[in-house]
Amino acid sequence: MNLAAYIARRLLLMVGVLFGVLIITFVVSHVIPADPVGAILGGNAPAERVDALRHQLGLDQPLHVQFITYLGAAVRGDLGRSLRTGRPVSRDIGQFFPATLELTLTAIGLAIILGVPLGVISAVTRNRPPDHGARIFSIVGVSMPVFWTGLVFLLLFYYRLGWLPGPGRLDLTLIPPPSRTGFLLFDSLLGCNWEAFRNALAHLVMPAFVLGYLATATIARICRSSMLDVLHQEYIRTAQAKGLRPRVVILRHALRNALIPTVTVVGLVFGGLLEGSVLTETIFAWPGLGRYITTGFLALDYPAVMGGTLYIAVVFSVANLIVDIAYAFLDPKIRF
Amino acid sequence: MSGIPGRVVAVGIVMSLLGVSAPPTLGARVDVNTLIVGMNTSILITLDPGVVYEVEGAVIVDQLYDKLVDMEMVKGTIQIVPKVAQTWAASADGKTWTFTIRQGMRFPSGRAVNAAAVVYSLRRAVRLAKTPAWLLEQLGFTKDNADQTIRALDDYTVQLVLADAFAPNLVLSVLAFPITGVVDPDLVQQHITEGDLGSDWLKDHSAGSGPYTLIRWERNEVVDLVANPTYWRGIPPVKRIMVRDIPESTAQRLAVEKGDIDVAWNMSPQMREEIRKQKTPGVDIVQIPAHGIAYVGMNVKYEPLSKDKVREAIRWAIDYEAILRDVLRGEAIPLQTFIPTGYLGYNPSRPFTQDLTKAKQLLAEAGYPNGFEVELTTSSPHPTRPDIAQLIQSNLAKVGIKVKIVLMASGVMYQKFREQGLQMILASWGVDYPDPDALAKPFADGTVKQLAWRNAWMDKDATELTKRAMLERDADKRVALYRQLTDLVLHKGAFAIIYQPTDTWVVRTWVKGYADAAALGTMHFDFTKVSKVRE
Repeated sequence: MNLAAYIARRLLLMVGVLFGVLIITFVVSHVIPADPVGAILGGNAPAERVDALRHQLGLDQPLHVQFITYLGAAVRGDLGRSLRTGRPVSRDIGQFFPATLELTLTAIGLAIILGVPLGVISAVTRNRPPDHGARIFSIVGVSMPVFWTGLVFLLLFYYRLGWLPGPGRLDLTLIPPPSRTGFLLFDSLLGCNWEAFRNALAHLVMPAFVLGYLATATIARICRSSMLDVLHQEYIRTAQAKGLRPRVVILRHALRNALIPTVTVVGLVFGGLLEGSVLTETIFAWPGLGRYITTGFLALDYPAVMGGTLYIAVVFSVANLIVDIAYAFLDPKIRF
Repeated sequence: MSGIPGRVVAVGIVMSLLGVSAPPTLGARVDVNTLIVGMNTSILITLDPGVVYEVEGAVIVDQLYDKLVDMEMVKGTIQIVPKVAQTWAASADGKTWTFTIRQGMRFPSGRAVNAAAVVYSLRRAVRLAKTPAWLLEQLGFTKDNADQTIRALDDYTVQLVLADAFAPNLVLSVLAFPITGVVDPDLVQQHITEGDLGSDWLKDHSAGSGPYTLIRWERNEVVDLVANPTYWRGIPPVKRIMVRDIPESTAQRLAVEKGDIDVAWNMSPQMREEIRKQKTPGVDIVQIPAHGIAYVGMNVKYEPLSKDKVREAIRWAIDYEAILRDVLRGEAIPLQTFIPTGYLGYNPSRPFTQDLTKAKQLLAEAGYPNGFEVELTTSSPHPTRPDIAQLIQSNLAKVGIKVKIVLMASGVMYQKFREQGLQMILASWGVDYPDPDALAKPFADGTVKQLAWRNAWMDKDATELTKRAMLERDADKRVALYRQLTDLVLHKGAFAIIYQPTDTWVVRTWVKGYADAAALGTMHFDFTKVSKVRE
């Protein structure tokens, strides 16, 4: 099977996965013994008004009818209207998703840039001070909740030291660049608005680092252990016996093989970051999809929750497809 | 209930770090023309006056539109005052009301705010039939009769025909709700799509004559208002209001202490207490009675609670002072009747203090000398309710009542409550319009299917008194009726009223006039009274 056929097959499988995600999300959100209409109207609303709105929104229909209606519309790209805001869900997602993706991609980028070298250094200096330092950094990273890290960072770098701006995506005094992609950094660059670019970048540093710290720690740990495995392989000993410089042995021969499990973890961690961005978004007032879905959950806004979850599932599936394709480039033995 | 959540511990540690040194002062860079409010804006749904019902949304809409009438706090009592309507009069039968519209008011477009605009706005709100429409429907306005009941008699006279001769304060209180905000009809007409009466466009645009106009609402980011240059009372001292989305309480605290925001709108009570204790320089705490009541509802379908003496015993067993002191940290007003302070008919009676002997005696007389088991449901997450429930649990345990606390998401809880499916509930009621009728119907009249009905409580006398008071046009007689009604519900009703909450804000000291602006709490917030100075 060539790469194109493999990608086509995976895309087909992805349709099945997304269908499964839809069914599970639909069932889970509808079996909760709660009434979204009551949640929308609040505790004061009389029962008659609750019933009238339930009928108006079609929530008094049998579950399978509601699901078929939803699915039919979703196939046509219509994710329905948010029960809470009355706006099309796709419009809401289009507004909030770029902010989440910008944050998550920056976080995973930082995690790779920091995590892989940290793992390599840790492995080649096993049981020596740099290894201990890196392992402490990793253990702290995987142990500290994002909520805590976020607050400490805000306290230190925004409140006490004043090095970085506070919550939000851009200073209020700045006029945001016209939205073309929804990615503030790109939009600022496209509009040659350097001030907005610098400001947006400064706002991005803290939440991206906080979100990426956990991923950095995970990647560093996996990279370290796979590097240790590889460094004990005979071909590494052969390379060393041939007199190759240690740098060449580590970077060209060991790291490339050690990267395969690391790349797998990067794919999984990326999904975790997408899901876990909600706390970071809340602490740093980041107008992303995580908060949109959480608000939807609390308001029992099914269409918002299902639409948002579907989007995250699509991105997660695509990320894992990219990871699988990356294997072929890392290991020539792998054929699709 | 489980122990203290890790998140609370984390906040506590951060706060203790915070207290290590004084926050930086940034008075030099204060922009006196711009007020920045930090708020959790995820609650905002729409800024259309015909649709808005959320508290924070109504506060913003209040700045964008002039309502038919308005309210003011005069010597601690809410009074209805002129706004778009300069004067008004009711016919002899009390059903037909004539409003004279103030001349000289203009929309930013230059068009006049006149009777046609008022009629268009009111009919539009009735026809939209969105969440707050019931306020107008209860006066008798419907989609079908709006053309006949809401009319312009001339350019500056509006006539409203009501279904009944309601008490004047009731009618005017309803007309002081944001739903009567006057929209610019020509502007709205330009933005109607698929017969939505412009509601999609008005979600994030403004078409009013209020002191501010909306220039942008970036959802979950910022709501940006600028002063309306054509405002009939002149341009307000603060020329721009930016409501910045900061959902997290700690982040709000850091931002207000650093001076990056002027007002922290919804900081947690625990953090406000820290600020009070530490006497944090540069910030004040503004506390105003809120338009609400916290109560314990007792479902009389549950056999033990069906007995008047058992409900009375529970009222005597609760330690109200401890709730106010230890959980609410003083951010509440003692209240035991269902009409809160500031309202017509406010009944200050507070007969209940914790008296376990009396409670035990009443239980014994009711046939429960050894108490009974009962479930107390409350909503979670909530900053105070789970703790209050725990306190009540320990109070009632002392008289032998074994309380099992059930925590639910509010959506789940209210669904069960609407079906009369809870034994006891700890919740609160937000008042919709500042008239005692807005409280008597839910708390006393079992026929309106509100709180009394949800607790399966029906009392013919209470229902009759509620209806009589609703139609009583003499204010003094009406007050007497509410006195009778509140006393009846106090001892026989299905509730133990726990307290009246407060609205509390943390405000920079360079902000002046905030307490005046917030005198009516979130029911009517007047940002034109706010100014900023350089310290």
